Amino acid sequence: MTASAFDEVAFFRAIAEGPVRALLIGRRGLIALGMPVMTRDYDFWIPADDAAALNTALLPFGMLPSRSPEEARKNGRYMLENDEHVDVLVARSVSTIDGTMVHFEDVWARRIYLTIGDVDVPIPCIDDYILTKRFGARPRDADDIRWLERFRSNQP
Amino acid sequence: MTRPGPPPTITSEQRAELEAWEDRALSPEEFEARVRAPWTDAERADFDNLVRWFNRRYPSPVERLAATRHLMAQIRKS
Repeated sequence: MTASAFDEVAFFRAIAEGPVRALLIGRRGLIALGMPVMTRDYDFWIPADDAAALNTALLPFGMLPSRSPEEARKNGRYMLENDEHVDVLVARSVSTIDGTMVHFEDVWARRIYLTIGDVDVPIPCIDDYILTKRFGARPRDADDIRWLERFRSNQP
Repeated sequence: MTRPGPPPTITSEQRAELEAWEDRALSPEEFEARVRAPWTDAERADFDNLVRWFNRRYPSPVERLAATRHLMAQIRKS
C-alpha cells in the first residue's frame, strides 16, 4: 500500500546508515508509534553541523535543500523537497513555548528506536517527544501533547 | 429517507483558510489551556478505540506509515 514510488524504508535507511544524528520528530513519528494522526511530511531534528551529511544522504532520492548548510545553521530550519517534503530543525538547543531550553544532546542521549521495516529509526523518548511538541504553539501541537500523554498512560 | 448527496467539497481558498487557522500560533496561556482541557469520557473512549483499531489494523510502524501515506495521497487527489 504505497502512495507513490517513494521507498519510505530506503529513505529511513539512507539517513540511519549515514553519519548524521537525525531524530524523527513530528507527526510521522507519532504515526509510527501508533497514533492515528495525519500528515505526509517528515520532521527531523539534527545538530547544527549535520545538515550537509543529511543532504548527502537524501540526494539519491532527488531531495534538494532549500538552504545551504551554513544558511540552515544560521536560520535554524530548512526543507528538503521533491514530491516529498522534509522539514529539518537544525539546532543545538530549542526553546519551548514556556521558555524551557531543550538540548539536542540530552534528547539524543535518551532516544529510543522504532523499527521501520528493517531500519532502527531514532526518535525522542515519549517525555522528550512531548517537549518537542512545545517548540511550536499551534493547536495541533497542543492536541498531539494531549494524545501523547494519553498514549503514554495506556502503555504497559 | 433521502439519499445522501455528494461529499462536501471545499475550494482552494477555503482549504488555505483552514490551514492558516490550523497553523496559527496560540499564546502560551491558550496553548496550556488546550493541553490541559479535561477529557470527557466520550473523548477518552473514542481516542482509545481509535488507537486500538489503528494498531490492530496496521500492526507495524511501516504499515501505519504506508497506510497514512496512501490516505493522504487520496485526499490530495480529491
